[in-house]
Amino acid sequence: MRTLLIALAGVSLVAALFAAEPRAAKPVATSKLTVLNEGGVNLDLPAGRIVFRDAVKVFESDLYMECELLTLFQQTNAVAKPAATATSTNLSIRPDVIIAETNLMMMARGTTIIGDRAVYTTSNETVVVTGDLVVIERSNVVFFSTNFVFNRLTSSGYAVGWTATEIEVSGGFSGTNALRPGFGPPRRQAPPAAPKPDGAK
Amino acid sequence: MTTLLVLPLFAQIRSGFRGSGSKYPEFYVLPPTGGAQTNRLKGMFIGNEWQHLSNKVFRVNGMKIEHYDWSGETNLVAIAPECLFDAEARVAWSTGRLDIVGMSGGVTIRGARGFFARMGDSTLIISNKVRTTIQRELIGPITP
Repeated sequence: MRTLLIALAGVSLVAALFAAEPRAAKPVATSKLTVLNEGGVNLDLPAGRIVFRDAVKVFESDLYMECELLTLFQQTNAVAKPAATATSTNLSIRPDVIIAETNLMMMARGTTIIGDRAVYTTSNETVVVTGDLVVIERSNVVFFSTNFVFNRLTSSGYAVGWTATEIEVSGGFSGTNALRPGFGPPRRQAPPAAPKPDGAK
Repeated sequence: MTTLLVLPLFAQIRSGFRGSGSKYPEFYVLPPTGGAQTNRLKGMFIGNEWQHLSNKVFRVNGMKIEHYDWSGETNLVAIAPECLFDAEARVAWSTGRLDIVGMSGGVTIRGARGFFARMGDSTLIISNKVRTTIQRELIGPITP
């Protein structure tokens, strides 16, 4: 009987320990996006538009972007509004489209993109970069185009129109046909010459 | 009728007049009825201390602009230590600092070198160097 009580107490203690263990809360994403610019900000609340001008720099944990004009358009068709609220100015809605223009440079996850204009749609996390010349550089591949579509969600993209690719191969070509050290049969080294007696030629 | 009562009041204010705790409300307008004003607050211009300068221009210390959505919730608050306010045109401007908090803290904007606010169409222009912080969740889903 005593053994049973001790066993029950042990089981209860273990159960209590497990019960007292709080379930780990799901981590809340607190990533912030910082925008620095030199030419001021226009907040047009009725139009749901925020415009950043001149030397715009955007920082994030996995993104850096530079441009001259950054425009955030907010969703206007997210919720069907009654006619009377046509002039309602609600800033508490997410931006639908982000447009970065002029001298665009974007760096994210090892990829650098240079172009004239980028349109980022938040619903599908897709960036469309256009320009006279769009340059995409990733590790040792440089890709040239005029219209490039990049999906941040899948880290994949494709080009529309002409493209050119430049691949930098490092260490493969040395400019000579000579075998590199280590290739071919091992060379035998001549044994050291025996010391000669004095006066011998 | 209200305008008739208010206009002479402005004319009677002497230069240098000081006051405190004044508020200027702005109401939503219904476009289908040709611009009829509703009783729903759109914005409020609040100043701690007011000093009359000339005509209808005041120097305001402790400025605060609140902006409300249609349901009446505050969605933007702009705070400046001082500014000038044109009571007739309902515009405020300054060469100094302006701090904005919007989207329930999701967006903070700090401008240090001037701003221009038009209460009528809820437009705010922050000049020169500006630092903006946006919660990532407001832009779109977080990629894994």
